[in-house]
Amino acid sequence: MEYKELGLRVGLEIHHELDTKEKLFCSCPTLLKTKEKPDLIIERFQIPVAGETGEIDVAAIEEMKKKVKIIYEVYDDCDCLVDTDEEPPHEPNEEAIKIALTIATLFNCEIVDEIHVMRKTIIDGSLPSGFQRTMLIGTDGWIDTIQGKVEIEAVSLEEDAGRIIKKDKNSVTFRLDRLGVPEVEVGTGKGIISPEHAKEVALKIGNIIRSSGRAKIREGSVRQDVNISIKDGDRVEVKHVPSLSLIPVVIEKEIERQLSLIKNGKKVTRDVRRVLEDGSTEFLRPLPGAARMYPETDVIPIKTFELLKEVKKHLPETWDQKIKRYRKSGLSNELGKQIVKSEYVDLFEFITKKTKINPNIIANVFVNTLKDLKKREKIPVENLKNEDFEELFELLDEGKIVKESIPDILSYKAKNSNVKMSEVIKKLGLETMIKEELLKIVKDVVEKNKDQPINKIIGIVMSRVRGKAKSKDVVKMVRNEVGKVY
Amino acid sequence: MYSQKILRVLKKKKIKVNDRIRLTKDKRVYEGILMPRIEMGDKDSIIIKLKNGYNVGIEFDKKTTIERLGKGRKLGVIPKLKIKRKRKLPDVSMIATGGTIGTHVDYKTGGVYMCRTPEEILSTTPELGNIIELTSTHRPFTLASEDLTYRDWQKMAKMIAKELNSGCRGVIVTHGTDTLHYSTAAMSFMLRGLSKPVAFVGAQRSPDRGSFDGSMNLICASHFTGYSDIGEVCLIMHGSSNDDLCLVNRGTRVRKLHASRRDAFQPVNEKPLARVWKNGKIEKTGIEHTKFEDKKVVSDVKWESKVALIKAFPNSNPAIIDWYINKRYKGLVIEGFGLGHVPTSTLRKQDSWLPNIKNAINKGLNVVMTSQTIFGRVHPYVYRNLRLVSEAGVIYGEDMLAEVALVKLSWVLGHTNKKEKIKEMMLTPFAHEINPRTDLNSVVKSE
Repeated sequence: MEYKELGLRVGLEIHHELDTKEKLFCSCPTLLKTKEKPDLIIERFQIPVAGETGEIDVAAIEEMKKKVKIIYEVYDDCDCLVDTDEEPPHEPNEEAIKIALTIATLFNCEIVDEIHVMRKTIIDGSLPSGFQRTMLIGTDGWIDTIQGKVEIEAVSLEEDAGRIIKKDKNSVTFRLDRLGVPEVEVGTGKGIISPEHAKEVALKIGNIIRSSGRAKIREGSVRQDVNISIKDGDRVEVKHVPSLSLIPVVIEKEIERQLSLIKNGKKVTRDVRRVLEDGSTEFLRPLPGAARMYPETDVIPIKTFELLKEVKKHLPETWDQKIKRYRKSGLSNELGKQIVKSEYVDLFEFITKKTKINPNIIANVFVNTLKDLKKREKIPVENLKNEDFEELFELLDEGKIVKESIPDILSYKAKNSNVKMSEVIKKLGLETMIKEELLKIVKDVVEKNKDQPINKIIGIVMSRVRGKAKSKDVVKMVRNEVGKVY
Repeated sequence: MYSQKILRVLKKKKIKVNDRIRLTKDKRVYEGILMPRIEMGDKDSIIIKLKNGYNVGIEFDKKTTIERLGKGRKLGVIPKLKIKRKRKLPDVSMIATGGTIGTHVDYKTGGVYMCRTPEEILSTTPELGNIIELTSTHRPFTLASEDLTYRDWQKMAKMIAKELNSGCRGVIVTHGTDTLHYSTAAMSFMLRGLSKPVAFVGAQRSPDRGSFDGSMNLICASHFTGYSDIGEVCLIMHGSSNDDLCLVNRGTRVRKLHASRRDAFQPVNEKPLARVWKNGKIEKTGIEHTKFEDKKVVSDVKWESKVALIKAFPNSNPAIIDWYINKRYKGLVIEGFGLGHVPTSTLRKQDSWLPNIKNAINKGLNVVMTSQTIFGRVHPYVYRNLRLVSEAGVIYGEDMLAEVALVKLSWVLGHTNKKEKIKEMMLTPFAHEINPRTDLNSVVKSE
């Protein structure tokens, strides 16, 4: 399909929760519910409200007609009166604002001089107040992609909504643990040229947000909305596309849908649509008008100058920059991409600086070995502490163990966390052999297997010295000995 | 207001608030609507509403240029609901006095203005039209409740009486919440011979939001005024954090007990008179009350304004009482400790309130004791210190709320200056403000 001829326009809105200690407008922790049953159930109704233009929003009228009861599940360890709309917001969380400023800077945005908190009218009941507090942090940013530059129209910081638990004809239930957790919203402008490109852009945006080191990684912490329009069609917003790979599918299907409407002489309406499993969509509600934002007067404006100065002093490297730097030190591109995403990335950096070990060996342990141990052998690798890895690689650096023995050492240590690393090696008999010892074994095997091909001999030696000698040394020694015999 | 620096530039370029503008600063360009400067924040920053709806502040300095692009979009007016007469439903009158329930948020600036007419209030709760017949609506004044005085109460009482006497079944009064319970107490005393429901209603969340609590309060107040057989001044607001039912609290037995919750108004020393559900169900709790009767009510608004409420506290200086004596006050209500204590037998003589209280009474002031515990009843004899204070001539106000005692004393002093008569009136219930029996469950508990 020629997307340019179709007049395809795609906009992404990526929402990502931030990993802060407290919520955006109160001092509740940002944890998810910790107990089975909510401490409190609150039942509410919401009324339709007039927008800025004095008219009641179309979306609000739709929702009003339904007159559904809104049920909130409230937890006393992560909700307070601010969450239940029983107390005005507290001062905005400075930690969250700094992270948002960091992220906006990573997207090359122009930062506003004074942040104004706004109330965005939300009519589905997911916020007990009836609106979402949101603030614009930066505008006019950009990112580079393989297919060209893409504009980042805006980066804003907002409070997350409650999550829907169930819905029927008469009521809808939301859980309020997540409500109020700070999240950034990154919206793209021009530059996305195809459905596949949208996927690449979404991935890139996610990576940059996570580069801040302060993105919350947990179920439901990322949400992707996709805006799609084509020539003679109209803008449609598809909410909550669950995975990156579904983004191009959703766009393709929406193009088809709009094309067929246009072909049959029907009007494309400005809808919010819900995504189904196969990437097709269904009508959710009409797209709300622009009239739904007005100032939050309970919170005073925030000057950014001093905060930004501080943020710029500690600006994190983006993942791209990191991968590039690793490549220079000899790490393969593939392992680089994996290690930046890994929770062990800081430890990886520390060990590569401290030892002379090939970075590919270290990265491989963190991204592959640990995964294998956990998945295949169900080893509790989460028991391993940073010091354990430091000690392990020190031993390797000093030649006291060989790299082939690492999986055995780690799995023993994970299961016996109070045994010292040096003890583990002794217990497993994995200390590197001294040369004389190895030579004795090699001589013995060669003597007893004179008729065998050399590879077979190497195999036999290896099976006897596994984990105690470098395979490189074994091969060399066997070759040498065999040469002597014949 | 913007700084003089900005105002000069705006004037020179003939740019007004609500014009479309373009701001340029270094490489940054912002286009949108010029907003007025809100009170808070940096007066040297221009607030601009961008196309995406967000407001942002841009500091105006030498590098900033501003251009006018045209006039901004005209903003609409607040919707009003026309009152249609159906002539089948009970006639109820509405009086709007101000407060959060009667605010109008300027969606452009976010500024909150108190300029809602009853018709505008109705637009937030169109359901009222199916419950009652709103025969007339009035707006005697529009004030935040903290700005009200007894003069406004007098106006209010006269207006309510006039409405009731002209044939309607009840009156709904919308009101700010902070001093709402003072007003309901004042109306309870001023409306003599009342036998129709008068419902005071407020809101803790403003009508600009979907979570406006005033909507259900108005619905329940309509059911109450239109259908209940309770002929008293009542305060009708949320019973809990849920949007299911309202409490019908007696005007003299209710207090704002929370700064921000929907259910801030709870009864003190008594159960609520009734519970009203959104669907119109009214369930009375069995407390004796004045029954509905179609008869005339008299507004008796005589008032003495030289009455004060003072609170005892550790380390307090009793000389405050002398100040009131010098200012020729006629009445003092003291919020004492516990059963009605004030510092009495202190180690340092000058810390005791007793001589000052005696002096006040000798100079003709009427002193009433209440308790700062809010719940419970004062007692003049349990401890020696209490006996000393009561012997000095202080009137112990039984289970009256301090705020109610203040209102009542002002009203009583408006009627008589005879010491014995004042005492008698203060201890005689006029609007169920005193109850010789204290309800077993009359305290707010956590669960």
